[in-house]
Amino acid sequence: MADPVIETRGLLKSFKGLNALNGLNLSVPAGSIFGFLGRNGAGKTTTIKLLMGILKPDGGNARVFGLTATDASASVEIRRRLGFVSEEKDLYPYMTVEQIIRFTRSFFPKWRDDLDRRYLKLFDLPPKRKISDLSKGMRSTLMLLLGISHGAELLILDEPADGLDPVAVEDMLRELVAIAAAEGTTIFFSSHHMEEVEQIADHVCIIDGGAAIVTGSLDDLKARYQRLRIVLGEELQATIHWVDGAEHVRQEGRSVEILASRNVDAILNQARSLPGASVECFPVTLKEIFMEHARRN
Amino acid sequence: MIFRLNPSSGVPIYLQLMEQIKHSIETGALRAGDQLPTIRKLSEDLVMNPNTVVRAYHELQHEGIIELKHGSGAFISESVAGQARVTRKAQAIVQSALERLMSLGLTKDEARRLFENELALLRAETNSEGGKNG
Amino acid sequence: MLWYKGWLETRFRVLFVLVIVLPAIGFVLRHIDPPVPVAAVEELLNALTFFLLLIPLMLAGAGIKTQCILFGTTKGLHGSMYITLSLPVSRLRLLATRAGLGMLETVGVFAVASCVAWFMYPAPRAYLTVSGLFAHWVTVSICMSAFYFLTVFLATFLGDQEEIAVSGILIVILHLLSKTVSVPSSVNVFRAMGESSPLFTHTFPWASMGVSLGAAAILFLAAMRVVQTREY
Repeated sequence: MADPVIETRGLLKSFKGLNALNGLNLSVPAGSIFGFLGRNGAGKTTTIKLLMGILKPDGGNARVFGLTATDASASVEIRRRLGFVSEEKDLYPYMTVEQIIRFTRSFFPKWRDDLDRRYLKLFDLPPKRKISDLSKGMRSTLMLLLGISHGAELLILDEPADGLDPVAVEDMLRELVAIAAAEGTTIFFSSHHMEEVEQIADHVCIIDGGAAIVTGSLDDLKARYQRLRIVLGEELQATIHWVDGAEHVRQEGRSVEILASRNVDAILNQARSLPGASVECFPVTLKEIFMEHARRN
Repeated sequence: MIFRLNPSSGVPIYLQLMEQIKHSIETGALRAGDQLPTIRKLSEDLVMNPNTVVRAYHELQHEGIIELKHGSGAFISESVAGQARVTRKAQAIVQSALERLMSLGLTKDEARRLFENELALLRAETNSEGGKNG
Repeated sequence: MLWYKGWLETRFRVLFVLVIVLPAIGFVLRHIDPPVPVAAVEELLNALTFFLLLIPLMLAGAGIKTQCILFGTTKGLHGSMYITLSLPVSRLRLLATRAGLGMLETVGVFAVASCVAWFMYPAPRAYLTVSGLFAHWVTVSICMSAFYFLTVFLATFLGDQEEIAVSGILIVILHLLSKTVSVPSSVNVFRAMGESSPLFTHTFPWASMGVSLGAAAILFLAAMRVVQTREY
């Protein structure tokens, strides 16, 4: 099994006494498309900045390509092999599209001219226009172009779909998938948009309060998480203590709804043992998993 | 080849893809010996994760439905002809079960819900067991 | 291409400084109409020197800490800093490139302004030789380096235009100190740019030049340390 491309253990970071990261453990497998989900302020951008060497952690360690992200010279080597799209999508306003491509290309000997020409056309980017005259969506796609065209092994994207209309989002997702299929590029992206993550990610991590609360392969998560709806024969007076895995239990009259994160078998047995119970089982979407965890905190 | 996937449905995408390929075989859209798109092409066309396509193809191979010929691609297995016979038998079973449910006075919607529920319970149990042993 | 990017960011600033400095030099040269006593020339040059220190002041800070463009953009850290930091370039190289470019611009602006003024006002040619002026240019450029790197150092941790203000204040204070506290004239950097300049003494004020270069080196090392440990 290949080493993970990104690996963090017990990552700690605080700003002015506020904990941004509280022991984050991440493991991004090589060649995967990894969705990094979390509410605003949960620690996504802080994590990304730590991986890029822009911030230094207060504790724990972070490795990219097996190299220590906190070491200055290793960090330069890391950045040579990865492409990055920042949250702000701020580029150099005084440069034109053409100029910034030329500028960025000078740092990456493995630049793919065919890719940058392709994306210029695909995303409709006017080469001679000044970046300050571009819309946010166009700056997003330009940043993506710069990140993908240099033949990176890893793409770190912070909210890549920000500012893009649905057609452009689909185009972007298609290009990401194409580059993953063709080159085996690992893609690590943070997003608010569950649908995009569900569409192309094979692994996800939900971060909240600076720690990973849900992590794993998306297929596994969808298999493990089930929503159970139980209708009882009569209203129960006492509250039931459900077995481990029953994450969120809502009881109203004779209806009980449970979000199970694992152990569905045991929970089903327990449910069926209740007097007059009829049980229904539904699959759970990523958004529901996210909302349940977000609501709880 | 037109497949429609719903990433938000809660059903793993690789399973959906497997379902759709199997359905295509059952309806005759895909026949024994036909070639499936390459992993790269399918993932681009459907805008889905290539690893997911890989998983679907491997599971289908495991079930004997397709064959992965190294270097040339994925092909529908010759043995699906035999599958068609099983499908016809199964269809007969479902038809007679439905007739009996209708004679009990159930509506089509009620019958559908019953089937879906039993299947969902079955799937949940299989996954749960798989998780315990795996 | 870091130099190119730096140039794109600072070219208007350079032009602006040139436009300010040129008239000042022109003014001084216009008043050197022989026969003017040497003492008067020395005084004029001293005053000019002080004004010339504007050059390193204004050109040193650009882009060290942020992507600030003079009289332009946002307060605080500009977002485009993140792409720069995401490039496979060490922070040292980023600093060294910007500092180097700014120094070249400083020396260049002074040279260009002096040449243009020299051509516009022929009168002082009776007084001042070309070789003398060249020596003066070399001396002033080297002596400016200390103040240049002082501004660079301040720019690594102060805000967008704050470093100009703070540096300016510090230079004024240093100048006052040099006049009031008894500093041996051989190491007085301010005097080296004015009355101790090769224009009058016909020798280079090596000690002052050495002091300036030494201070510049120390300040550059300090700036390097700050940039390495900074968090963005």
